[in-house]
Amino acid sequence: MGGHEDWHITENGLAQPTDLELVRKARRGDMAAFHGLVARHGLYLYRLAVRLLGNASDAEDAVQETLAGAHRGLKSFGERSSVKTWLTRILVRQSARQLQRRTRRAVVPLQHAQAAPLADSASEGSDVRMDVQAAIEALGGDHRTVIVLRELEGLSYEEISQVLEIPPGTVESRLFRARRQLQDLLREYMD
Amino acid sequence: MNDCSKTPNVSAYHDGELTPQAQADFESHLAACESCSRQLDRLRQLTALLRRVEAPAADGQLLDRLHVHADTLPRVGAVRRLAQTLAAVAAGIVVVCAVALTQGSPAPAEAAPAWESEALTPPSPETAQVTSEAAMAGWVLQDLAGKD
Repeated sequence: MGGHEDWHITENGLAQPTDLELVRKARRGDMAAFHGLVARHGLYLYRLAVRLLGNASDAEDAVQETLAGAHRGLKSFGERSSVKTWLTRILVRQSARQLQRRTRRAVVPLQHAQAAPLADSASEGSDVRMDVQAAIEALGGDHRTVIVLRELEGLSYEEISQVLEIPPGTVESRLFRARRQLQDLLREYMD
Repeated sequence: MNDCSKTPNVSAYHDGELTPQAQADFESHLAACESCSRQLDRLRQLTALLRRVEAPAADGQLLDRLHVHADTLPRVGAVRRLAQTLAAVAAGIVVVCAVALTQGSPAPAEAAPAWESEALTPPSPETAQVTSEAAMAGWVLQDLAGKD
């Protein structure tokens, strides 16, 4: 998830500062460098937030809070993980807080919601996608997070371990249980 | 549904997370274990289903809004610099005040009236004889009249 070199060469041969270099510059007060991080990771963070939170409005709030948190934490970023992992960790925490607030507002929490009724098995396309999305949202927060990070974002166990700050073995077991639950929710689509 | 103790390893195998040796061992196991083979098929189906979920699309102005938001964040070190500036100003004021107190010419002390110094001075045996109540009264009157 990102190198630790200060500079890298783009496809058009131009040297671009790495994420880490941008963080170091931003740490010294260079706001242009911070904007560089926003430009590089903003859309990724938003996509991840939508997948974790299920709607665009909350997702944008979570990304803004993530950027504010990252900005506040520039000095404390220990450079032990990649910048993208660090940003992902902040976003996952912000999303968890959003879900807690949502629960306190007495909206039916996703982890207690039932997956939407499955579409007719003959239907295709958007119905299947909606059912799959509903099944993901019906998972508890921890299970949803590992499924999103692994299945939808393609992070390795080690990267998920760094994001969630849990041992890789716990990632594996949590992923195993989350998949079991998904298989049950989507059993009509499984042979 | 599963009667094999190695079923939990199916996820790691499916995700390519096993070491080459563990992967080879598990593939040998798969060839003989119907339960794990079935679970692997189900995992593959699940992954295929999940990949049908479309990536959420952001509207065209999202990045612009994020940049605007970033501009509202306090500058790194701004608070520290402000605190340093205020501390320097405060220190300057203290120094100026200290210099004024130590080097400024103090207002000349008003000479104590004769009656006061006389009254506060313990009388020596000699002055005790000289000082009379009438003399003390005269000094007090002089002082009240503004004369020294």
